Amino acid sequence: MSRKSWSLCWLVVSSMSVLLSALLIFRTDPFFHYRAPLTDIYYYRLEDERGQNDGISRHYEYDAVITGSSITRNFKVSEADSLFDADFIKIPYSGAAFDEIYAALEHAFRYNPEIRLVIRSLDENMTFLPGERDGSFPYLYDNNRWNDVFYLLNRTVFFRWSMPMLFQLCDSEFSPGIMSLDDYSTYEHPSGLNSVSLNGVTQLPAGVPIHLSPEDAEIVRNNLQEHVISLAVEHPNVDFYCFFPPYSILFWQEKVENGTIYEQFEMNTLAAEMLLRYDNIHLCSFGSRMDIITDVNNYSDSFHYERWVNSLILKWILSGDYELSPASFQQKLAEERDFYINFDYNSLRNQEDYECDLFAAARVNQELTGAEPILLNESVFSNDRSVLLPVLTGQRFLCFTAKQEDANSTAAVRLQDESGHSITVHDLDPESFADQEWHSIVLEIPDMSSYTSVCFDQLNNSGWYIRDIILY
Amino acid sequence: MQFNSYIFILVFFPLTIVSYYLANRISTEAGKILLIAAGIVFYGWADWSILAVLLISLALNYLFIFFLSGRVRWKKLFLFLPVAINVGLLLYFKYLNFFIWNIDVLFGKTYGFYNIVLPLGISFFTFQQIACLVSVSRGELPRLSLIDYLAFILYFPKLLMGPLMEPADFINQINDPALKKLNWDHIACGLKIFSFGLFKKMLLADTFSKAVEWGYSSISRTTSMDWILIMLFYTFEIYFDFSGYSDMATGTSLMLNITLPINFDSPYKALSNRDFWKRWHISLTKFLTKYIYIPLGGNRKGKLFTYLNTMIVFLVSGMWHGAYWTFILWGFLHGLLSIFDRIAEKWQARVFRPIRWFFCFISVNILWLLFRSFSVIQWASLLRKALQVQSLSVSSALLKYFYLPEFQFLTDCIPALGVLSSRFPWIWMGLFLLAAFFICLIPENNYRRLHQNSTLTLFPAIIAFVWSVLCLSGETVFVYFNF
Repeated sequence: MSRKSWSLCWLVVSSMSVLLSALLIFRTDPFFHYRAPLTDIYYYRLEDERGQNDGISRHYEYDAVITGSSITRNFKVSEADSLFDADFIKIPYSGAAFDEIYAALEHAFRYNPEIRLVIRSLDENMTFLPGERDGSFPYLYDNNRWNDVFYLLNRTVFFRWSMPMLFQLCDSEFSPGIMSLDDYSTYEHPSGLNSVSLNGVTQLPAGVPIHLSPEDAEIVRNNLQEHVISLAVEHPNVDFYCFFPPYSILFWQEKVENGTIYEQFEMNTLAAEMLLRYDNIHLCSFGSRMDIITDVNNYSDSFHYERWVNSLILKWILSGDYELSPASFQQKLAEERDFYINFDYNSLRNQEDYECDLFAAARVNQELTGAEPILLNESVFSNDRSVLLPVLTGQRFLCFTAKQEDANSTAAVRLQDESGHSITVHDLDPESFADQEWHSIVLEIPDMSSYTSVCFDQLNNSGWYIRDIILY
Repeated sequence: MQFNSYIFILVFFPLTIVSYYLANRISTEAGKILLIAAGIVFYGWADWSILAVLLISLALNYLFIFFLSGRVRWKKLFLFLPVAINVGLLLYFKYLNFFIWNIDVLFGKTYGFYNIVLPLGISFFTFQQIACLVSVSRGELPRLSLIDYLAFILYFPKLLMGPLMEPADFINQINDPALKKLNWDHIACGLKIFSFGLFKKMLLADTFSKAVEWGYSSISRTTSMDWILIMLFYTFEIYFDFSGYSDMATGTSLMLNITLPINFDSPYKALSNRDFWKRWHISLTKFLTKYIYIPLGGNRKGKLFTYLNTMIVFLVSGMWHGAYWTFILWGFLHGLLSIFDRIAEKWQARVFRPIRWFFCFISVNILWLLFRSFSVIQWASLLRKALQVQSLSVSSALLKYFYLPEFQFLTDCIPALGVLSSRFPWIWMGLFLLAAFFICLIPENNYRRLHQNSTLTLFPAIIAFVWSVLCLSGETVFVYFNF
C-alpha cells in the first residue's frame, strides 16, 4: 500500500468513524440536549442527574418542578402530580450548592414559562460559595453550540448510553419507552441505628456555642437573595414551596456537640426572615415532627431520609400545617433548636432497628393514605392458608412474622383476585431463617386492593410457622 | 493549546498544515511566518496575556543574538549576560517562592509568597534560547535571521514540552527546499505515530493517572498492596503521558516535514541507571550534557570530578523539574545511582540481565513516587506503607478506575464476560498492567519504527485515533506541562 493510499485511507476512515460516532450520539441524544426523547424508537434510562436534568427541563412537558439536593431524589413525581394537580418534573442535584439549584431553575423558567409551582429544599449549606462541581457537564447548560463537541464525541455517552440504546434494538423483547421520573435518581439504603450509627450512640457534652459570624451572615444573605429570592421576584405568579429538610436526630446531635446548632438555626431564622417577606414563597419546617426525626429507622444516614418521608413531606407541604409564618417563625425555630439541645441522645441507644426497614414505611402509611392498620391473623399456623382480605382503604403493606424449623423447604406468599388469578409476591427462603427464630417480613404491594385474599403456600409439613399478619 | 484537544485535532492542525504547504508555494519565508503565527496562536490560545513573557524573552534574546552574530568585542560577556538573564528569569518564575519558603522555615519568619504565574513551557523555551545563544556564539549558526529564530523558538510541536532540539538541526530543515512540498511518507508516518501517541496519553496515561490520584487523595483508606500498584501505575502514567506527548509532537512535526529528535527509547527496558538516562527524555539529557557536564569538564578530569559533574547535572535536572525538595532529592538519588553504575560497571555486566533489569526498574519506580509526592516525608511514609505489605488486598475503589465505560459496554453485551468481571474484579486492572508492560518491554519504540508503515498498521492507527478522540472530553493535562 502506498503511503498516499495509507494516508488517504486513514483520513477517510477516521473522519467517517468520528462523524458516525457523533451522529449516533446526536440521534440517540441520551441527555435530551437536542430534542425530546424518541420514546417510540429507543428506550431511555434516567440515571445521570447532571447529564440529563437540563434536557428534562428543556424538553419535558410540565408546569411544576421539584428540585434540590440529594434529599429530593426520592420524591415521586406521580404523587406530587396527584396531590397538587400539576405536571411535575424532578431535577435533583446531589451535593449541589444554592447557585447550582438557582441555575437549574433559571434554565427551567427560560425553557418553560408555564411553570407555576416549585418545590425545593433549603439545605443546611447556606454558606457554601459557588464553585466547581464534579461530574458536571457544563457544556450542556450553555448556549454555546461549539462546545457540544464534548457531548457528541464523548466516550462515556457513546459507550454507556448511545451504544447500549442502539444494541437494544436488536433484542427481540425490546420495547421502546423511557424510565419513569418516579424511579429517576432514587436511592434505597439500609436504615436504622445499626446502619446509620455503626459505633452506636454516645452523648457527648454540648460544645461551646458557635454563632453565625457577620461574614457568614453576609454570605447567607447574598446566597438567598441571588439564588432563591430573585427567582420568586422575577416570577411573582409562581408558588415557591421551600422546606428545611428534616435531617435525622443524629445530624442534630453532631451539631449540638460541636456547638454549631446555634449557627445553623441562626441561618435558618435569617432565611425565614428574608423569604417570608414574599407572598409567593412558602417556607416549611418539619421540626415539630419529632416522631419522624427521632426514629432513625426513617434514615439511611444522618442527612438522608427514606422515600416514605419524601411522601410525607409532599403531604405536609400541601396541608400547610408546617408552613412558617412571619409572626411565628422565630418562636417555632427556637423551640426546635431547644428541643435538639435538650434531647436525651442516650435514649437512642435502645431504639429498635427494624429487622425489615420497610416497617417504618408501613407505620406511616396511615398518615399518608388514611388507611388504618388491620390485624388479619394473630395466631400461629403452620398449614397452607388463604386469608380473605377486607375492603382496603389504602393499605399497601403486608406484614407478618415467620419462623422455619426445617432447613430445606421453601414457602411462598401469594395474592389472589376474585377471578382466581394469582401472583407470588414473595418466596420465603429457608436460608434467611436458618436460626429458627421468628423474623419479620414486610411486603409493599401498591395495588393490594385489587386482590381478595392472601395465600400462604407450601407450609404443610414444611416446618414453617406464620403469625401476626397485619395490613398497614 | 494541547495536542489532546478538539480544537487542535479538528481545527488548528488541519488548518495549519494546509496553510503551511500553501504558504510554502508562495515562498519559504511565508511558510515560516505561518509557523510563527501558528506558534503564537498555539501558545496563547488559553490566555493571550501569557504571551507577554514569551515575547519579551524572545525580543531580549534576539537582541543579543544580533550582537553575537556580528563582530563584537567581549563576546563572552554578550553570551554570559543573556544566559544569566534567561536563567534568572527561570529562577524567578520557578524558584522565588521556593527560596522564600526555605528562608521562612530556616529563620522562622513569614515573608509572604509572591503571586507568580508560571509561563507555560518556560523551562523548554528558555533552554532552547540558551542553545540558540551558544550556537550563534560558537559560529554554528552564522546568520540567524529573526524569522528563523522565531520559527525555531515558537515551533509549536515542541514549544511547550520539547523535545529540546539543536538549533542548527531545525534551521537546516526549515530552509531545506526539498522539505517544502507535501511528502506522503511523512504524512502517513506522522499520522501513525500521532495516533499511537494520542492513544498512549488518552487511554493509558489518563487511566493510570485517575487511579494514582485516588491513591493520593485517599491515603488513609489505602492498603500496602494499593501502594505497590500505585507506584507501578505512576511509573506507567508518567511514561505514557510524556512519551505519548513526544510521539504526538514527532508526528505533528513530521507532517510538516521537520524531523524532531528522539526523546524516548524504551526507557523501561534499561538495565542500569545510566542506560535509563540514555533512553528517558533524551533531549534534556543531551542538553545538560552539552551545556553543563562537558563545560564542567565531563569525565576528562579524573574520577572524582566525573562523579561530581554527574551529581551536578542530576541536581540541575531535579531542580529543572520543579521547585520542591522532592525533585531535588529525586535528582540527587538518581545522581547517586548513576555514580554507583559507573563504579560498578564492570561487575554489573556479569549479573544476569533480568536481575539487572529488575533492580533498575524497581529503583526507577521508587524514585518516580518521589516525583509525584507532595513532600519527602509523604514519599517516605508511602514507601513504608508499600513495603510493609500488611495484606495483599486491593481496594475496590482503586480497581474501579480500570473498569472503563468501554468495558462496561462489553460486559453488558457479553454476559460471560460480565460474570468473569464480577468474579475477578481485578481483571481490567490486570489487562491494563499487561498492556503497559507489553508496550514498554516488547515491541520496538514507536520512534524507531517511525517509517515502518503498512496495511497492518493502518487499522490499529485508525482505532487508536478514533477511540482516543472519543476520550478527549475528559480534558486532561500533561504531567510535564507543569515544568
